[in-house]
Amino acid sequence: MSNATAPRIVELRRGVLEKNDRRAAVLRGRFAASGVRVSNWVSSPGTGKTTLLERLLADAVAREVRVAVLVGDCATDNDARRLAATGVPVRQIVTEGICHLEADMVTTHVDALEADGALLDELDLLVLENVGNLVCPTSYDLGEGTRVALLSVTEGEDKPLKYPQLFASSDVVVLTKVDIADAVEFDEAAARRAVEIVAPGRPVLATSARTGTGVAELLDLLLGCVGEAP
Amino acid sequence: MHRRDSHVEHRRTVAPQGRGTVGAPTVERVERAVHEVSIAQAIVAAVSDAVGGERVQRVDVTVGALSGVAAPALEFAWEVATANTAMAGSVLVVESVPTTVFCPTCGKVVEPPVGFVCPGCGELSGDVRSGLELEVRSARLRDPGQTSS
Repeated sequence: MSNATAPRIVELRRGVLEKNDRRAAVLRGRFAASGVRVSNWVSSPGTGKTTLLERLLADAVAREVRVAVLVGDCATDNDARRLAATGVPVRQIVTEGICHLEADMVTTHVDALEADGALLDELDLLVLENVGNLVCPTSYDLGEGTRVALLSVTEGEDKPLKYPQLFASSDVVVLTKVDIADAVEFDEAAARRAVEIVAPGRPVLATSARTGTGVAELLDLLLGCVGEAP
Repeated sequence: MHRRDSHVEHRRTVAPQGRGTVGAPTVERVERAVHEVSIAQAIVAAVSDAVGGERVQRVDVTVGALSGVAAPALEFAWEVATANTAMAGSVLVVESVPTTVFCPTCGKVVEPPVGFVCPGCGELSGDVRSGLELEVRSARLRDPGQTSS
């Protein structure tokens, strides 16, 4: 006989993404033990993450910074092939439709990088280029020390207000394609104000992959403040 | 991570930052739906671990405004994610938590209308006290004698 006055309730009280968070914590420990700085790049598709990263990798190679990249996309390895042309170890993570990277994908591919000889202990910098998406990657910790939110000058100055979760969770905001800012009438001060509203005190770095503006500063920043606990 | 104060949480039945669901699908809307399906699947996995095969009638979750999850899309995704699981036919009850920050100028916890701007004095504060939650709170099991929802 059922007793309608005593519903059976199981208390969980746990994070929805607890499993991912646990795996990310393991990764963070591994990264810290190896002394490698790790950044997670998040933006909408077309912001120019890959193009800026190509330029940054060329600078890193020239400065003898030891760097490797994991790049996520829903399909194709086009980005990995572009980035591998710079000569650094690159692995493509094809998510097959999943709209973000998860910590277990990063674990699998970090293991594969190490199996290929790119040991974390011997790296200065690991860049995780997330799937182009402003919403979903926000929820998934990858064990990174620095989350980079990118915004191109063609996207509109108020994007941080429309997607506050990403910008609020970032450690640095990077403006891309600033070489064409005038042509598209981009108001940099307005964009900086929008960032300040949703992410007070966050550094904002203006960059151009074409002219190289801000690339050395971004590399310095990624090497300087990554790998720490969040 | 930011500190949280549970006493500043408010119960709401409608998500404060839910995005529109009418009109033609856009890429962003489809991306959102995909995201909430994967969040719903994570909830199903967490509950499955805890209930050990028992059938579930109702699941309660807490979703903060800064969690990156839209409550209406999550409720929509629930039916898809629970098909052929112990949670098939169950109800997902979402408690939405608004963003609150501590304003040092006013000396109190406030709920900004936009971003992290204090509604009292207009100052910005990144001292987040709530809104980051994304938690499964509990699962109500179906009565063993019950055969339908």
